[in-house]
Amino acid sequence: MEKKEVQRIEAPSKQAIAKATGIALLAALLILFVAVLPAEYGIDPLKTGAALHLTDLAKATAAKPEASAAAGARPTPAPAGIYTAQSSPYKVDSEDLTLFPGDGVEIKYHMQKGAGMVYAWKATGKVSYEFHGEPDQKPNPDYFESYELDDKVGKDRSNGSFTAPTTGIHGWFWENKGNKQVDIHLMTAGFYDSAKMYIDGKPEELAIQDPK
Amino acid sequence: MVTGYDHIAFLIGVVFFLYRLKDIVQYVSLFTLGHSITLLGGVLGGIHVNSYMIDAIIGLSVVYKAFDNMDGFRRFLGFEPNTKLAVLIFGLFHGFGLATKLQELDLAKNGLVTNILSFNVGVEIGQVLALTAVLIVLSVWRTHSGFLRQAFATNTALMAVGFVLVGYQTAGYFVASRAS
Repeated sequence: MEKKEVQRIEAPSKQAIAKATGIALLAALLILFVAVLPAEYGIDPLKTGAALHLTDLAKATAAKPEASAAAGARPTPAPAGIYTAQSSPYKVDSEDLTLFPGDGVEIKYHMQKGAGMVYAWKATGKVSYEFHGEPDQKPNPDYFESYELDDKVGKDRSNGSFTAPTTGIHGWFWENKGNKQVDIHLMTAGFYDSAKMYIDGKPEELAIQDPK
Repeated sequence: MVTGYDHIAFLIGVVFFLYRLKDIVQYVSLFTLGHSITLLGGVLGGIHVNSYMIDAIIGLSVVYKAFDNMDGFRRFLGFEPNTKLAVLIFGLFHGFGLATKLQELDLAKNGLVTNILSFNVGVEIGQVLALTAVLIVLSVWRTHSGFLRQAFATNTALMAVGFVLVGYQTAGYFVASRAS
């Protein structure tokens, strides 16, 4: 490979470098106060952000989570106080699942944020499980939030009440890590609008009942 | 910063005056080694550094490299800090920045190592793609007679980018601490 002649030029002088650093610093401060800080944080001491409508960006980002809740199909009351009113009666569901050794299954209920559910499941043996949820709006396809996880020793029952932290699907993944068949019985009652079972990731709609 | 432009900015500064492929590979490998150590160690070790502070340091790394590219250290300090060591050390800080992004996702313990490794592979692929584009542009640019003069102006701009990052992240740190 032939050598390329690199031109040897004097490196910039101290003054030139100091001047360049100063220019860089000033440019950065300008960019920060005129555009970046107003747009990102609504910090606008020079009021240029308002003039350039950049502060609208900061306000929009702050308002987005509230707006999407208000624009939802059903009003979502905030989960606060003694009771949370809902517009329709709750649903009930019970499922019987058989897990051979190595089998896994998921049951998830679609709920609005703030909706409540009571649940009780029991199994004929210890199962590994995770109680988790996936918001309808998620940052990436694999995103989920874990509420309760026991994949070491496992449990043979769990009972409780749940309030959905996000509008999305919430429920359980059970896995039989033992060497004997395990039967699981799940009972739920809550303000969910649909239920699905997932085997190997494939969803199957489940029928849910009105309470008697 | 989620998008990673701050990491790319640092790498642009690093390769700006690297002409031989051997040097480019060496420096990029040192950076990769640094960030991989802290990405893996940080997430697996549960080391939670403040993401604003670490991103501000990453902004400082961009300022450092732009200043170094202007030969600023030789002019003002009389010597140039070991550039390979600097890339490795700043790489460690960049890795902590990557770790904070992963930690925000609250990953399950199941398969965590696989997830981190996959994330790191993704980072490397992105790095290679970005560097390829940058080096193509640089190799064409370097053939032009005005390159060294324009390089000085470009590194000034790069330094400004670094300062903006520092300011943006520092502001974010104070806004976030005010909110909580």
